[in-house]
Amino acid sequence: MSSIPYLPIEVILHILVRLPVKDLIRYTSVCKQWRCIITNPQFISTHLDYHVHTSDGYLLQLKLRKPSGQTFFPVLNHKTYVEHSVFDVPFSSEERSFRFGGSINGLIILVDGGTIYLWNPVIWKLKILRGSCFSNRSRVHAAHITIGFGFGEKTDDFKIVRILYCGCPSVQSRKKEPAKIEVYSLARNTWRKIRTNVGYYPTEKCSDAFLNGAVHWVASEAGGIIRSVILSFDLDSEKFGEIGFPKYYDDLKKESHGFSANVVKGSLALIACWITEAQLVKGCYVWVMGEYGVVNSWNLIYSICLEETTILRPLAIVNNYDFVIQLVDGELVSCDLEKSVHKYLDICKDNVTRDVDTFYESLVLYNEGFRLTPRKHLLVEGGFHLGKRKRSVYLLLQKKWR
Amino acid sequence: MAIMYALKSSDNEIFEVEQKVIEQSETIKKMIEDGAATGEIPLQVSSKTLAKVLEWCKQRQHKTVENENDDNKGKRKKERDEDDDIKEWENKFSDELKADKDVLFDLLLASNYLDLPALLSFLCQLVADMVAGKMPEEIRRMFNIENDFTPEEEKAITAEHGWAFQP
Repeated sequence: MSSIPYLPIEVILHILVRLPVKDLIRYTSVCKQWRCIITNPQFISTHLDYHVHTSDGYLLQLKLRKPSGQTFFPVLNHKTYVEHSVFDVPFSSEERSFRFGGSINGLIILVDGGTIYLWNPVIWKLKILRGSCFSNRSRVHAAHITIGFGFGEKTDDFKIVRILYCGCPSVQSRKKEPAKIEVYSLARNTWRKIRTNVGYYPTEKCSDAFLNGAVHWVASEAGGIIRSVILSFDLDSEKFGEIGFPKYYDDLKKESHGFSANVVKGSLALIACWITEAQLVKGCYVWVMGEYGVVNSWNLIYSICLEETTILRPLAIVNNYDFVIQLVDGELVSCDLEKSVHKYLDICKDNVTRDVDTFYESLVLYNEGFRLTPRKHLLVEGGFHLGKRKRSVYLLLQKKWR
Repeated sequence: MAIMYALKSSDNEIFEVEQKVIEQSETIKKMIEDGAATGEIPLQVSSKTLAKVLEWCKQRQHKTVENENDDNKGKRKKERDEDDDIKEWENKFSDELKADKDVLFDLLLASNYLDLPALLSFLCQLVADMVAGKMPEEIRRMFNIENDFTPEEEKAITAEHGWAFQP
């Protein structure tokens, strides 16, 4: 085997980009050149891009373990729904439990009050974001905190936008204060205030619709007649935009509806639920926007109405066009939006699923954040985040886990 | 009558090939377009490897020509049969390469040099499948790589990501 020739770096890159994350982490110890390639941010992003475009990714479920209430994430094969692995959250919440923000580029985003956790479960990396441009008091007073996150198209920088506001968006007469808006950039590792009066208030806690370098939420107008739109925030230019609802909306107005923005196969989508007085969902509709930003191109692609209410809520759109709905008994139904084929997902078993998303393995966060170890769990207990103790705890954590 | 080109391997063997077959190589296509391909085209590829490259190119060419001649009727079934045929052919092709790693690596270099993206991507996937799940020492042997870490450095990396070294 000594005659094996030296392979040029571009060929090695072509080979490495096809490997799973665990192999790559192991091969950082092959030689200095390989380590340099694998840990390079450009490679990390190429590797992710390759797998997002060539594989289906995984179906990520969020469940709570009984009786501890600990959050864990079973990861399933997207086609067969066979369990591939389980990610146990190796750190504790400061409050009772985490709110699941979603998954993007191999990261799981968990929100716990004012703290945001960016967690790459495959490479055991964690980054905790506690900072804010706004005082603790204004954060506590804000009745609504909405976040959205994604990667800027041009800058490739991971950003989180957080919108805080008081008052209820559905109360018509109430005059509102302008929302407080701040943006976090992973490249700069800081939060920054955005001074703009959007005039709309997101009604979703978190954005499920990251598309064209922008995050999207369903939002409603301040004061006067309540009008709902899809509010967008471009992560590169840090500018807001608005996209009108489908025209059908007027017909739906008479009934109570819940909306959420989503993405179906690279297009912006709007999920509408027809909600009964008992807070159950009687029907679901999915619109897809054929041409981004063009209101006339909204197209109703799916609707389901049930005589006897059995739907609890729509959960998410995963794997590009699988619409996952949760039934009242906790069971999940997946509907292929292209073929309109329904399938029961036999994945609930003992613990009820709280949320689902698509997951891809990645090396994102390799070069930053805390390293967790499978043996020692990083405990983030209540009180750690309080003013003076913060710095000492950070130092302690760095010492322990670096 | 198809236009033929003569390719000369590094060990001076001549291969007569149709233009359509060899044009899959971006490198040769560019030579033809620039008018640099008169007479024999000398290539830095051994005859053994070049024969393999041409075997691949002919198979690919065969596939595209047949698709062009098809009308839509019954195309789906035919395509499925063809896909099966191609799969079978590719499996045989990759089995041969897996058995002889020297040829595989030479072919990898040739596909990079001749700029054959489809072959390069096929071979890289083949190598990636062979490489997956191995330990670093096996990788070094396979790629003939020298370990340039000090024992302390290597130990530190292994300790840092212990979980990745467990099966």
